[in-house]
Amino acid sequence: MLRHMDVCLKTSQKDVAQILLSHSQSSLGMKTSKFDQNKYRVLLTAAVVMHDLSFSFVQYKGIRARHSYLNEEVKHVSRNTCKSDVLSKYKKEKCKLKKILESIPGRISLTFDLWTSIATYGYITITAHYIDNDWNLEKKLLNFSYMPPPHSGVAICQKVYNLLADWKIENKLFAFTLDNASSNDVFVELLRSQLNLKQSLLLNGDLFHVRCCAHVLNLIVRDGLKELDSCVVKIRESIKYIKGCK
Amino acid sequence: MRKVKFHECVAHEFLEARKGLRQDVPTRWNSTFLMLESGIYYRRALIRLQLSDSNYAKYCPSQEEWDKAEKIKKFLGVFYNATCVFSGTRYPTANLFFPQVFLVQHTIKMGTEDSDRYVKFMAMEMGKKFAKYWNDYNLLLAIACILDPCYKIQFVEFCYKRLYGQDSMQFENVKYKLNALFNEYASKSNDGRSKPLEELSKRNISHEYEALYDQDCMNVLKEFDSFESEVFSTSQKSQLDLYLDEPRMERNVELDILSFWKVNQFRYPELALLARDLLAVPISTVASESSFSIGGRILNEDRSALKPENVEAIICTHDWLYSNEDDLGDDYDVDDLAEDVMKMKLEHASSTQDSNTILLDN
Repeated sequence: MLRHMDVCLKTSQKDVAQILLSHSQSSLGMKTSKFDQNKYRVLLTAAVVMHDLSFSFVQYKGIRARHSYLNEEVKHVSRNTCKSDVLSKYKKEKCKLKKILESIPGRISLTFDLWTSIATYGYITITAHYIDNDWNLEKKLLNFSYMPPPHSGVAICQKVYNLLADWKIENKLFAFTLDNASSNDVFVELLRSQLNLKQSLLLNGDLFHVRCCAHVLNLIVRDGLKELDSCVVKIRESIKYIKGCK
Repeated sequence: MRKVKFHECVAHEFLEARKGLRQDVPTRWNSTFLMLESGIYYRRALIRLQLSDSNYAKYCPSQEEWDKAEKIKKFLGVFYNATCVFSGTRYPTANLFFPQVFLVQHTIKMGTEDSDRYVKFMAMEMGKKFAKYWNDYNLLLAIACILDPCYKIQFVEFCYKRLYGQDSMQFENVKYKLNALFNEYASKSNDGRSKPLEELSKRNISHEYEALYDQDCMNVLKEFDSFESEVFSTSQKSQLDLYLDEPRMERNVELDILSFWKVNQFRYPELALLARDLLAVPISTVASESSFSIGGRILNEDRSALKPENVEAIICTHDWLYSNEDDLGDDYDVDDLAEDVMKMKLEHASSTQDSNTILLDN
């Protein structure tokens, strides 16, 4: 983590400063370091990922003008190049994470959720939780994956199992935490029996399924607050009254 | 104008103006709790306002209603705290589940015996839902609590006794599962390690002493060997027993449970393996949900056509490289965390309007 921080700091400040510096130095005739087009691309990719910028950011006129001003040697990249740079960075980091997951001493617990974007695409997320060799609690987002309908328990199970197999962690799982959607119950049950075939769970997966506690708690309280007492309503009205006049 | 008057009342009562009154979003109970809390804080100021502002008088709760509101606030507070505790993603939560849920169940139980009709009704409704999901708690998470040196098995025993009476089936089941789980770890680590050492020491002994003893002496000594190993195997305590025999730590001490196990991993190597896996179990799906907020940012209206594989590449790489940066800087406190949970669960039900705070000092 600290390593990442270092990299981030570098990308956001130092290196820009260095590029600036080297530029002004070279114009003074003190050629110390040259402008590096590859480094430029790495920084650009980092910026796009870090700040959730759109790929066409690299084609913005203003951004290009700014970069050209900093160094006239810069070769501008197209949004397609930027896209493939992001993808190859992703692949590289994914390999790294795979190795880490392979090397950790304990088992991995997962959380899962299903989400629909504004374009009504379904996405599933799987997050891995584990404690590393040095007893630090780690959490890593494994997948943010497009999930075409149907969102049935069977379909989700198939999808999740394939994703876990791709990470090669299907044999070192400990627990799986989900909320109470009924398709989730079916899905966990199926996944459990699938993993039991390989005997890869402890106690035959007896303790595999964990329900999201925040969710259950929420359901409990909502039932309790179905009707509000008049005193709560009055306090609400009081606040509205004072707030109402600005 | 009303605000100025209210402000004066606040000053008269020597209350902190900065706390602010909070309007709630009716579909999110946590905001209702925060509203009650802020309203009750300004109770005296509101009563004073009622005396000077006749228009306000019809809204102001009566003394009895204020007292009742206090009661409801206290009741909901237990649930609010539990939600905040459960929503953390930076610290282990598995060991915290059991004590919190016990408090929740205890609160509900006390509520059903309350003299107030409304509190009683509320507690009854909650009790029904509680029974549906948590009647047997969660065995895995009860075991996680046992591995917390501040709670241990005594706490689980205490809770089950309060709820189900002495020597309940439920408690026996926890003990049984704990042992079964521990044995899986113990047998796995035994397979590889302890053998070579034993064989080595045996060989040494037979070489040096065999020639010195006659047959009778040898036999007696052999008998002793087997006698000793018998005693040894029956009285040898497992690491689990040793851990459980150790005195419980002070509950009020701030203990970092991961450091505890890091330090003790050599004393209880097998149990530490179990602790490592168990303490990593998240008890809420908050971690997965929070990645959807990044997802929403990326798949906004302008970019909703982004290809799914690109979406995944951006979001995952962001998580791996820069997730720490997101958290640093802005003080992401428990209120926000709890707020996140509520938003996720009830997003379809509520408008985008957020609970807003009026700051009183302008």
